[in-house]
Amino acid sequence: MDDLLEALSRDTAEVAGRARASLVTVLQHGVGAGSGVLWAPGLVVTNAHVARRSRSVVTLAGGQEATARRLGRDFQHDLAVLEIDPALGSPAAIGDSGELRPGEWVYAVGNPWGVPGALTAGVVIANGGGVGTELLELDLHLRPGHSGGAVVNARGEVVGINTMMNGPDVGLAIPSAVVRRYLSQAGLGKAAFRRAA
Amino acid sequence: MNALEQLSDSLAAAVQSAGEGVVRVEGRRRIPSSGIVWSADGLVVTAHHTIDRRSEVQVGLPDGKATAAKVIGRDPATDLAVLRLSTAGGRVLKRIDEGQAKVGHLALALGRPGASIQSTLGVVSALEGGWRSPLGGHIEHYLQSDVVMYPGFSGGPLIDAWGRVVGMNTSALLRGIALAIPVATIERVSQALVEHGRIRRGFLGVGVQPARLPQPMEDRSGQSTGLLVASVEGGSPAERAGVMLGDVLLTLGGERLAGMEDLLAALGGDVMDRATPLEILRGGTRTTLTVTVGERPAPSEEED
Repeated sequence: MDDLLEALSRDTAEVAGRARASLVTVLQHGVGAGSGVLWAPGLVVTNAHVARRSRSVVTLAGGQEATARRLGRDFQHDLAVLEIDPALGSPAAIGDSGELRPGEWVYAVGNPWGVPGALTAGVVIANGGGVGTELLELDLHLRPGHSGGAVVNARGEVVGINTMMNGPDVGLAIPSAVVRRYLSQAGLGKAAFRRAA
Repeated sequence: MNALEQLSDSLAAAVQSAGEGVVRVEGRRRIPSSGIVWSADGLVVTAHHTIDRRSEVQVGLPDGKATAAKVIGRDPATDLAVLRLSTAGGRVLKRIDEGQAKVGHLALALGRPGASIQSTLGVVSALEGGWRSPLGGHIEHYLQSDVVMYPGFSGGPLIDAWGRVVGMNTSALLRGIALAIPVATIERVSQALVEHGRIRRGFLGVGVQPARLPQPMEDRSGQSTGLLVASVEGGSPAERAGVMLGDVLLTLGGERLAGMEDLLAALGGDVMDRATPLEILRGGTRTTLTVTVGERPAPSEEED
């Protein structure tokens, strides 16, 4: 029993480490700090409500700072894509949000209240099919600053982007499948692919 | 797979499997609630407060089909209601045995307010002995978890890591607390509801508060407190029996009334509709009245 708890703690720390490696802070003059995910080399995915300005300063996991240019924004899905120097940082492993089942274990990383890389754990309440939403409904605590950060599964793969909270106890996230769809519709999917190649 | 992936996978599998015993209950105008398939012949238990005043509801089965269901009984005091499906469906889940639940056990709350199963996770936070709900219903265990009660989760099951039903979640019995009605209570109350359509509870029609008895009386009887009558409802069994303001109730049917709990327990027993001795203290003298305990009227307005 103790072994199991220790194994769970160890695995959690490992997943947290992986999730944090691709997490960035998005800082904008006069707007404040949000989070973002290094989705592919040179490509940061964040929320539209975080990337309000066309230029921002992105702080990578290692502490390096980079200037970022906004490539696209979609208010309907609360998504934005920023471009940084493709040599910087280590991109996330992207998972398939379509496979997420209710009850599955997930973590959210972000910079809640300005605390960089803070981790919060919970389970999937519903994966779409809820009340007229395609958002992931998560039994975990999102706070200001989590926006644009990643939701990762037990394998440490990014399956969503934090977008908002629904009351104090429920977090909502944009499924990775919706991010992929947006990137390809915006013509950024290929860019992401080319950069990755 | 590492331990975390196994845990994640097991949780999702438990939800999927137990979800076959969870139905959607469309008993109110707002968001639907959830229900637990309770018998293979079509009984479903759900939360009383999620069904407004109607005798028939629509139920969404785990396989996606919908069926009509009759509300065959409800008990506001334990927040339980029993439905009978016109077409039986879903799977009867295993239930936990007495003593198997432990504080600290993982617990999943399941709900089906929409088409698919939904879940939140927590632990069993408190598991205590019997208690009485604010409306006077006896509940076998005080069972509290820290699961998030998502909209529409009331009436759904709290399950353990083995997929067994630990209780029925309700957010209405105690506000702001994820409370579950334990299996023992569901079994007892649902059986009574199937047989009688309601839970009968005795009604006296007095407002009381505990009061200390004079020392000599305590010395004689060993009872240190009684129930001081602060109000008597007009036309109630108490008024017909001659109970007056300022009387102190001592015993009912021979059962000692040292506190509110004792009165509720005495009225919950089999005392209705027959002459029962009510011992009181009036003007320093012990007197015995004869009261015919009535049945408590149902609350007039349903709580949401």
